[in-house]
Amino acid sequence: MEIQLNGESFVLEEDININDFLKKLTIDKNKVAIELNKNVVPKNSYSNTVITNKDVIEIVTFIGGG
Amino acid sequence: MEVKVSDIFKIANKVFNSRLIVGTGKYKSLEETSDAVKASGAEIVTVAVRRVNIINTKEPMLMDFIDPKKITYLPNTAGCFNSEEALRTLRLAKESGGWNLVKLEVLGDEQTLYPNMQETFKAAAVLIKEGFDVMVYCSDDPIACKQLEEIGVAAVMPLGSLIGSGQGIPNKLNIEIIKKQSKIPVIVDAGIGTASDAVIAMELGCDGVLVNSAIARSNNPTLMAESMKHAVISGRQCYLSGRMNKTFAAFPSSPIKGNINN
Repeated sequence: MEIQLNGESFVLEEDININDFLKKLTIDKNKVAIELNKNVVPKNSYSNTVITNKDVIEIVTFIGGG
Repeated sequence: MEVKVSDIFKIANKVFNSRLIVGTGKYKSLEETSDAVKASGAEIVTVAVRRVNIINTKEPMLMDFIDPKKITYLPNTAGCFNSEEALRTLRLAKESGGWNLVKLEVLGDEQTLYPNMQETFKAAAVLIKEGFDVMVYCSDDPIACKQLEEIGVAAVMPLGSLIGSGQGIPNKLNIEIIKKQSKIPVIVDAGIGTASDAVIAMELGCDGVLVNSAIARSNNPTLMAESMKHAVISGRQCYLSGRMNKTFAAFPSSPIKGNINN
């Protein structure tokens, strides 16, 4: 299946929950926030939120800014 | 320099010692950012919300260099040109770290980066309803600042001059009017180019200043950060002291009595 991840197309073998997806990407969940199809996903819902085909995901963090 | 106990700086019921807020953008490296923040003595830093680098997730992050448990992160909405974009950004920021305190800036155009006040008001109202403490980058318009205060923002942050311009505070009168009428903190945001600009903002009675480019774009950001720290303290102490009156006539500082030539 194919999803949109941070504006780029990204291929996944199968459905995966956000917790496992972050592990796969080696991203520390404490340093990011996630939006799934324009809705913010609360951190405590990562393990029961499953990414499915054509989902649009944004993973953001804090960077330097004024 | 110790700040007097009676002169505490409070935003949204949080107490801070430093009245200098620094931006974390435009530095050459995260090490340089961290060194400058330390030297500035700032307890609040502004940060932007951006996509994680998916290609290289091992890339160091700002949080590895500036600990959000020690320094208050103030997420901004830089680059947002309407209320929807700003709301989306700050909702994500809130989830990222559990922050309620945010800096709302909705820009009007890319040339001036002047605030779009209509969209700013729209976004501020929604954010307040959702429980955010909103510090607002705004025009140096006393009426707009008054209206922002009335809808319940945590602080107004009128621009001294255009973002990143280093032009200081050409319209001191407006900043002074805004400060005199406000019951919430007034922080000069944008335009500070050098230490004396920060002193002027504080002498006018402002509660704080936000500085980014003036530090990051100097030849020695760490030293300039320290300079800004002193400038803010100096300006604040000057304001609290109350300056002398100006006169047209000269008055000698040394006594005339006892002069051997008289």
